[in-house]
Amino acid sequence: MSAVQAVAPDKSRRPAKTGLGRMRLREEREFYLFVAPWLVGFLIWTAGPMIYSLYISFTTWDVFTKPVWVGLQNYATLWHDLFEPSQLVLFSQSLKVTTIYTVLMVPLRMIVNLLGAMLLNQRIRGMPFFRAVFYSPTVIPSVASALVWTWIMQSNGGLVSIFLNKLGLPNQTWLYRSKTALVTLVGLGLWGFGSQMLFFLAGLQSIPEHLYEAAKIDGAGQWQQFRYITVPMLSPVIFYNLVMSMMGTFQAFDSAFLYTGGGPNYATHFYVLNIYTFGWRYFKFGIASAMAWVLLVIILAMTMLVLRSSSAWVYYEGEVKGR
Amino acid sequence: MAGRVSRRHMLKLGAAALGGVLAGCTPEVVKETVVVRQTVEVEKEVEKIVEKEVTTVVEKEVEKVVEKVVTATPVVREVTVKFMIWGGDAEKRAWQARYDMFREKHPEIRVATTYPPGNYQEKLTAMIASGTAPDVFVPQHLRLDVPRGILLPLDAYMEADTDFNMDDFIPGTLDRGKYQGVQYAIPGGLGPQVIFWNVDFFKEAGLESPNELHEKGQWTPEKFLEYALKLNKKEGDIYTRFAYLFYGLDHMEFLYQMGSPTFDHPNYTKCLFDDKTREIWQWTADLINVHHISPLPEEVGAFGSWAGFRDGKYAMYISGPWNQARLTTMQWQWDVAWPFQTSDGAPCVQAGLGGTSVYSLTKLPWESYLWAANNESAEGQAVWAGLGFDIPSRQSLIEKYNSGEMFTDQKAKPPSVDVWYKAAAVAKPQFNGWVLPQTWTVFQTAWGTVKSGEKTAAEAMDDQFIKDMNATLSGV
Repeated sequence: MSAVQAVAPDKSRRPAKTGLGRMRLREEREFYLFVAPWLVGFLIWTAGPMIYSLYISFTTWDVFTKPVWVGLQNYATLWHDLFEPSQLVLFSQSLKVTTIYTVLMVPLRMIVNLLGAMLLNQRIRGMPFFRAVFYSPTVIPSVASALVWTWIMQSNGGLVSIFLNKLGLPNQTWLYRSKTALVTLVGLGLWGFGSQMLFFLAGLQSIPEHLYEAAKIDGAGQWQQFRYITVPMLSPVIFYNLVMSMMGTFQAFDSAFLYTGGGPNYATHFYVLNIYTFGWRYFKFGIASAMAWVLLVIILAMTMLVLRSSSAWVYYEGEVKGR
Repeated sequence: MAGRVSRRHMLKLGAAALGGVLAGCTPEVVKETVVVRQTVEVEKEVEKIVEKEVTTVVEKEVEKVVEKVVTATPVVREVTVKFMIWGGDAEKRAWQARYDMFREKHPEIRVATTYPPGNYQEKLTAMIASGTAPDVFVPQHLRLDVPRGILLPLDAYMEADTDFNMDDFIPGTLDRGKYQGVQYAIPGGLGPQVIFWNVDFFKEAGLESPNELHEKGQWTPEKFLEYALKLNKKEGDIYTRFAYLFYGLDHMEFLYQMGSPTFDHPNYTKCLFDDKTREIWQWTADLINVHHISPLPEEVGAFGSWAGFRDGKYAMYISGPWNQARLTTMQWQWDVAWPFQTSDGAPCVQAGLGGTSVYSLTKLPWESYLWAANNESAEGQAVWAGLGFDIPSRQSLIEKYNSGEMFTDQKAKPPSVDVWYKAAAVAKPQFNGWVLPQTWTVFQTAWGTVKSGEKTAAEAMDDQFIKDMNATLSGV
C-alpha cells in the first residue's frame, strides 16, 4: 500500500490551468494536428498492409478468391526448403544469393563511397562541380542506367567486349553465365556514389582539424592519421551507413529484375525478386507474404547484431566508455 | 385572387416545367419507358398546379412544354467498353481498323483501348484485384482464370447473337476458348509456327527452297543443319549474320518437329521426361553451342529478335503469322516455309491461349461481348488477316486468304501463303497453353542451362527437375 502511495502522482503538482498550461495543451493539439497526415498515411499505407500481409502469410491466397487459412504451412514449406532446396519456393536459393550479394556489396560499397568522399574532401578549385558530378548517378533512374549498362555489357559488340578485343581478349559473357553473373551485378552496383558518400563527406568535414595537426606534430603518417583519427571519428557514420546499406542490400531488386531477370539458372534470383515472382507471377501471395516476414526477421536480427557490436567499435565524441 | 398569378406561382410552374424538360433531355436516359414515365409524372404534377392556380394563358404554355417533352425522341446513351491488349504500331493499326468497322455497326458503343507497355498480365491482375479491370481482355490462362470467377461465360451471348455464325469456324477452333465445355473466350485466328526465310540469302548461298525440299520429304533436321552452316556469315571472328533465330517458344517447336509426343494434360509425365526429349534438347542446344548457327544467349541482344530478320541479321526464324505485318519494309525478298521435321514430327501452334474474354463483373456484358465477338466475326478476322496478322479460323475466308486477295497490304503477303493452312492442319498445340506459369519457368530455366552449355540435357533433366515439374504441374 505504501509502495502504491509512493508512486502515486501528486495531483497538487499538476500544471494549473494557467497561461503556461494552456500553451502546453495548445502545443499538444498542434503536435497531433501536424503529425496526423503522416500518422494516417502510415496506418493506411504501411501498418495496415503489414498487418494484413502477416495474416496472409498464414493463408493461401491468389488475390482473386478469398484467402484460405493454412496456419503455419507456408513457414513450414520455407523451413523445409532450407534442407531440401527445390524450385517450388526457391527460398534457400534466393537467400543464399542475397546473402552472398550482401556480404560482397556492403563492404565494397562503403569502401568505394568512403574513397569518393575523401576525394571530394580535398581543397581544390571547382569542388562543388565535382561533388555534383559524383552524386549525379544517384539521380539517374535505375531503369535508364540499366539499359545503358546492358548495352555496354553486351557480349557481341558491347563496349566492354570491344575494349577486351582490342587487348586481344575474347568477348566477355559475365552477365550471362551462372558463375559470374552475381559478381558482375555487384560490380555494376558499385557504379553509383550515393547518399553514403554524402554522409561520409559530412563526417569527414566534422573531424576537428587540430586532431590531424597534433598527430602530424607527433610524427604520424597519412595511413596512421587515417587509421587512428579518421576511422574512429567516422565510426558513427560508418555504423549508420553499415546498418542502412545492409538493410537496403538485403532488399535488392532492381538490378536483378532489370539486368538478368534472376537468371541464369537463378544465379541472381534475389530474395525480394523471389517474393515478387511468387506474388505477382504465380499469384501465391501466402507464401510470398511468409517470405516477406521471414526477411523482416532476418534484417531485424542482423541489425540487432550490428547494434550490439557497435559498443565495441563505434566512438562517439564526448562519450566515456564504461559508464 | 384565384385569377391572379403571383411570383411564387410562376416559380413553382417554372420549376415543374424545367424538371419536365430536364427529365426528357438528360443524356443519361437509357430507355424510352423511363423517359415516358418521368414525363408523365411531370405532366401530372404540372397539371395539378395548373388546375389549382394558373391562368388559361399559362396553361397553354404548360401544355406546350409537356407536349414537347412527351414527343421528344429518347436519347440513346453512348457507352464505353474498356479493352486492354498488347501490341506495337502494327497491331495498333489493325485494332483501329477493327474498331472503325465496329463503330459502323454499333455507333452507340465506344471502345477505349489500352496498350500497357510490357507486363500485360501483371497489370491486368492488379486491375482485376483492385476492381478496375477492363471489360474485355486477354485472359492469362483459362485453367487459372475460370476458377477465380473473373471470366463471363459466353455461350448464352453467342447463341443470342444472330450475327455471330459459329458454324463458320473451322471445327475445333472455338474449343480453344472453352473450359470444361463452357465458352469463356472467343479465340482468334490460327497460329501455326512456320519458318520465315530470306529468299535472297538462300539464292546467294545456292540453296534450294525449304518448301521444295519439304515436298520431296528432304527438309529434315540434318538438311536444316547443313543449310544453316552455309547461311552463317562471319567477318573475321565476328558473326555478322546467323542462320537461325530461336523465337517465340524458343525450342518448343523443335520438340514437336522432331517427334516428341504432344504435351497434353494429363500425359505430361511420360511426354516430358523421356529419352527422346532429352536427345532433342541436346541436339537443339548443340545448334547454338557447338554449331553456333544461332546466337548464344549473351549474343541475342546485339542481333535483336524479329527485327534482326528484317534487318538481314538472320537468314531464318520461326514464328506465327502475325510477323508478316512487320516485314513489309524488309529490303530482301522473304517467304514462309514448312518447318523442317522428322517423319513423325509436326509443326507447333503458338497461338491459341484462348482469345479475348469478358470480365465477369463488367457493367456492360452485352456491349463487351459484342466487341469481343466483332473481332472474330468474318469481317473482323478479314481486317486482321488483311493486314498480315493471324490467319482466319473461319472457313469462309480460307480461299480468299490463300489466293492473296484478302491482303490489303500486298507486301505482307508471302509468295507461299498457302503454307499456313497446310501447316495448321497438322500442327500440335503448344505446351505452355495449359501449364501454370511456374511450370513454364521451371521448364525454361532447365532449358536455359542446356542452351548456355552449362549442363547437358541429361544433367538438366535430372530427378530434381522431374520432381519440381511434377509438383508444379499438379498445382502445388
